[in-house]
This record gives sequence, C-alpha cells and structure tokens, in this order.
Amino acid sequence: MLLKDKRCIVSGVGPGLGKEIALAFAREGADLALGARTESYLEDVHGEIEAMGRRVVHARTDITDQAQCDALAQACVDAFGGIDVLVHNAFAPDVFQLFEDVDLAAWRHIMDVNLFGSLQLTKSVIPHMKNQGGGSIIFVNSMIIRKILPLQGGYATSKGALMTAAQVLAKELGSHKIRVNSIVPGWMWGPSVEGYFKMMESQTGKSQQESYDEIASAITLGEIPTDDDTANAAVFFASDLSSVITGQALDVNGGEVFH
Amino acid sequence: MIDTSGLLDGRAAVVSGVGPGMGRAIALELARAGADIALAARRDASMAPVAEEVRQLGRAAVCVPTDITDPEACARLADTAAAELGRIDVLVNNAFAEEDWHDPFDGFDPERWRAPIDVNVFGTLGLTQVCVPHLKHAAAERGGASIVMITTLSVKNPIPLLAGYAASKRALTTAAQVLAKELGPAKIRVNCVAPGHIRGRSLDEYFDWIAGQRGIAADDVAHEIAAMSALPHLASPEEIAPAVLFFASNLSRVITGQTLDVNCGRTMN
Repeated sequence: MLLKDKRCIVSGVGPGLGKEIALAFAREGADLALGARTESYLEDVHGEIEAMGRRVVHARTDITDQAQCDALAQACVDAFGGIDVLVHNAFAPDVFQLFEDVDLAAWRHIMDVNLFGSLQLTKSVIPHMKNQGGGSIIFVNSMIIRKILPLQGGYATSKGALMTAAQVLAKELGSHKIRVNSIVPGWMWGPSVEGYFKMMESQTGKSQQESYDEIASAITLGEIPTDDDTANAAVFFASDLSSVITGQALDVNGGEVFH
Repeated sequence: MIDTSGLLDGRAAVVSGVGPGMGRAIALELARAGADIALAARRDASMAPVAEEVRQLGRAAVCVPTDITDPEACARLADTAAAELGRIDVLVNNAFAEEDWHDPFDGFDPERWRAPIDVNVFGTLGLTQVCVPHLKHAAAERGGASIVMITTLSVKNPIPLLAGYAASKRALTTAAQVLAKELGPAKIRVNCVAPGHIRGRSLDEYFDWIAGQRGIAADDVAHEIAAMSALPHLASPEEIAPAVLFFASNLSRVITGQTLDVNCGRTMN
C-alpha cells in the first residue's frame, strides 16, 4: 500500500475523477476527508470508502467560501489528527462562448472557483502541514493549457493561472517540506464524457462508438484513459514515491500531448 | 520504507549502466516491487554486488557485461534477459557517458562530443531497438510494457562545460517522444525521468572541483546548490528511483511521451 495511514483531503468529489481519486487513495491505505457542494455525492463515496475499511469524513464545501474551506480542513484534523495530502479536484467548467461574445463576469466566476477557490482551500491546510513538518498538495489541471481550443477561454485561462500558482507555492513552501505538483489529464473516460457521447448520439445521430474512436485515434496509446487510471498519477504525487519531486506537472493523457 | 510490493509482480526489467549509484538504486527499487532484473554495465565487477542484493530481495538477477555502443553486446543482453528471465516488460536506459567537463568550449574539439552522442543517443537507441520485440511480446500478453530514459536537468537548465552531454540528452528526449508515438499502438510506453544533482561520488568530485576553483569549502558549494531548489535538498539515487518505478508500473498505464523532472523543484516543468 502506497498511502498507508496518510490523511488526505479531496475536493470536488462527484461521480467522476474526484471519486476515483478518493477510492484509489483508500485502496492504498489512506484516510479521507471529502469535500463537495453536493451532499448526495459525498454520502455515496463516504459509504464506499467506509466499506473498504478506511476512516472517512465529509463536509459540504463550496471552495469559494473561505469559512467552508477552513471547516473541511478542520474536519480532517479533528477526525485524523492532521493533514498529509490535499487534492484539488473541484472546478467550474466553461460557459463555451467566444471571447468576443462572453460576459467577462462568467470568466470571473470560473476564476473564482478554479484559481481563488483552490488557493483558499490551500490556505486552510498550510498551517497544519507546516506544523507537522510537511505534506503534499496536488492540483488537477487540464490538457486545455497544452492544447488551446476555442470556446473554453475562461477555463483554460483559469487553469493556466493555477499552474503558475502551483509553481509559486512549490517554491514558497518547499522549505517546509510541503510539495506541490499538478496532474494534467486529457480526455478521461468517465460519467461526463460518457454523457457527452450520449448527448451527441441523440442530437446528431453520431454513435457513441464513432465518438470514442474519433477521439481515441488522436491518442498515442489508442484508448481514452479512464478516470481511475488518471487517479493513479495523484496517488504517485501523494505518496513518498515522489518525495524529491515538487513544482512539476505530469501529463496524463494517453500520449495525446507530450510535455 | 514505503511498501511497493506487487507493483511489478511477474515482470522482468533490463537496467543499463548498473554501478554503485543510480543504476543500483533503480535495480533494487524495481526488484522490491517484484521484478526480476537483467543488469548491464561494461564491468562485471560493478554489477555483481548489485545482483547479489537483488537476489537477497528474493528476485532473479542476471548480469550481462555490455558496452551499449556495441550492437552485438546489446543483442546478447536482450537475448540473455529474455532467455534467463523469460520476458522483458521494462527497459530502463540508465547507462550514459559525459565528456571531460573540466574544459570550456573555447578551443573546442568536436571529438569531445562523440562519447556522449555515441553512448547516450546511439547506444541507448541500439539497446532499445533490440529490446522492442521482447517488449512488444510482453505488452501483447499483459496489456503494456515500458521504456524509461534517464535524462538530466541539463536538458533544460544547462550547466557550463557539459555541452555534449546536455545536447545528447536533449536528442534522446526528442527520440523518446518519437518512440512513444511509434510504439504507442503496441502499448509500449516511453517516458523520461530527468534527475538534477544526484548525491554520490561523482557529485562529490564535482563539488570538490568547484570548491577548489573558488577557494571555498565543498560543503558550502553543496549548500549553495541545494538552496537553488524549492526543497533545499540534494536527492539521493534511492529518492529518485521511485519515479522510475512509477513509469515502469501500471500506475502510469495511460502516460507516455512525458518527462518528469525529479530534482527537488530546481526547475519546474
């Protein structure tokens, strides 16, 4: 087990990557504090982790609210006595409008969640990690910063800022043995992509298999990575296997983009 | 120590450039995770003690004296590994050469670049080529195989006096991405691990040399260089080797064509 008794916070626990990260961590022996806005998602994953024999707590958390971020960190400390790992998976998606048309208030909201929300939650854990002499912080970034596409400017811009912020934090927190790294997923086979393919099928008649094959053909390994495969990169950065790695970004995309 | 047992159960790995430093740490890291190991180095004496350590971990080890610039030696290594261990799932290209780094580029002699280019590029690619059929076989059977190139911080953050070495590793990095593209459909992944300064005898010699040039203590040089990293620390081979294990294992099943800097945050990729 790679994360035996590590005390881990995962934000943005829903049906997709957040859940898979929490389950992968539990499989590797970690205890989990789960945060998300939606109580029902939290309860589902809470139950699954409990069934795996690991300790788990959860707290409804909107990361744009500093008090709720503090409460999630405190819940982890109260339950397990400290915080070893924080995974930032919570995000706001794009509004899919061209820059020249979009109301920048929409971009500000995306930035509030993806950048400032993540930074607020980071602030909540730093004192605890400093006190105990170290920790690992992992940001879930996105291939959108490597492969710019139209209509996702707000999301891409927020993730670009988040990458730079992660490197600043790595530099500032390194002397406290707090490591800060990013994983950069590309396409991920999970509920949201599955839903997107189904929608395409009903709207355009394009079969789900056709959609899959079209995307997989651009991926070096010839398949769309699953969200549980992607979660294993977070396991690596959370674990002591990466004890001398900080400030790095690891692209987890089946080889669609090389970095 | 972190329990990695099971990550490479039933797998066999070829590790080149096995001596007392990085090669040894990689071989032991992979063996602890369950892999049998074929060790390669030019001198049998540098491998034999490591093979013994691998066996003490309960894994099989075979030593094949190999100069990777010799195609026949590479072929013998691949054949012996496959015959003795039954398969090759993982190839770690750790063997390298660097030019004599005491001389500046002034009065440059192109011959000085030949060793790093011959060994680090063509030697590595030659060994990789003869391992590919075995890796393909393993990938077809188990759903994946892995090639890991050990590159260097110097690729992105050049150090004076090591132009040939840095250039050779940059070429290798690009070649690795081409191989990732070509071998991806066969589910062979190709990634690079780029260490920074690695604690050990060569680094001590380097620090001594700088200390001599500047008339300060070698310890002060070490502290100065460690302070350039986000984690103010110089990594040991044992701290770097787990990154190789990650790329060798199924944990990175969907990762190919990437470089991971393992340098305490000296540079940020």
